[in-house]
Amino acid sequence: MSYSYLSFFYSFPFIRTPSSYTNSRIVLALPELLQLIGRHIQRSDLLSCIKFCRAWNEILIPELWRTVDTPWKPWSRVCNESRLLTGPREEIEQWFRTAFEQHGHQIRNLKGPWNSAFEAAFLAQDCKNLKTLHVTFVAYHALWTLQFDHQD
Amino acid sequence: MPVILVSSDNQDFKVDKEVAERSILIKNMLEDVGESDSPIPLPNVTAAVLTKVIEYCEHHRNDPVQVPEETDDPRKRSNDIEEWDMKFMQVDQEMLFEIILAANYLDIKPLLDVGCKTVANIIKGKTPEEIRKAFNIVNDFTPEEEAQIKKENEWAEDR
Repeated sequence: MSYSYLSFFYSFPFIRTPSSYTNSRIVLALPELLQLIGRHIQRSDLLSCIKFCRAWNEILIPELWRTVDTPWKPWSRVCNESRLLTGPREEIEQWFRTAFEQHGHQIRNLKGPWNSAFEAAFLAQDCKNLKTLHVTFVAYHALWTLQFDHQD
Repeated sequence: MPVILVSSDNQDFKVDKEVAERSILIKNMLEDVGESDSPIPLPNVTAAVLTKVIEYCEHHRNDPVQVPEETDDPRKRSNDIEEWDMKFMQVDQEMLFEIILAANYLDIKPLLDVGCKTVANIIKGKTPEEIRKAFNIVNDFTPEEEAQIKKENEWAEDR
């Protein structure tokens, strides 16, 4: 192949795939390696990563759901204060059931306000692998924290 | 007694046994073979990468065996790379992923760990588009599927 032909060939940007992609492709296509990387990705980034493609989604979703500790709100809205409802209650309950049916078994740590954390853990009956349950609540004008650890 | 490692491109590397044994693969090989001075071929590792890997193993030759730790605390993630390792990992992306592949193949857990943390740090603070571009990820979701994923995982949004 002559030089001029080659340079013509490589002038197409889509053909000139950077070689640096090859190794990253191999690594990121190996589920056990992507999973290891996922252990170190912070949640806000995980949230983007699960939307990239099917492969990333499948591997990184369990990482995202491993610790559910946002004070926010879907289930506190479901279980707690109906005045915070923005949508119809049934719709949110449906969301809740679907999400927990699908992901409940991936949750290791669940943290939240009293009602919502408890209801989240028990209503769905899907958190089979829960290791810690951490609940906070207000009683006698003070903030209380309870933590349950499951020992293997 | 030194051990001779042979890279995929046929270069010999003479290293101390305790350095070579940071690799569990090599350690097991040496145990299986017993006392022998025959070179160990590493057909999956090029000389350039093996040089880096040996540099790492030399530096960490006296480290205690790593206890596997499982941290569930998201705040503890990433970032906790010691300074020398951080400098060691300042390589181009090609080399970074080669090191990860080699660490995986040679079974050097701490190096694999540092490699994965480094990738996580690259991801950190980038926009989704930038990450996609950096790793050449092709989106194979339909817009409907994407909306569904967003809905199901909304709780994780920091708001």
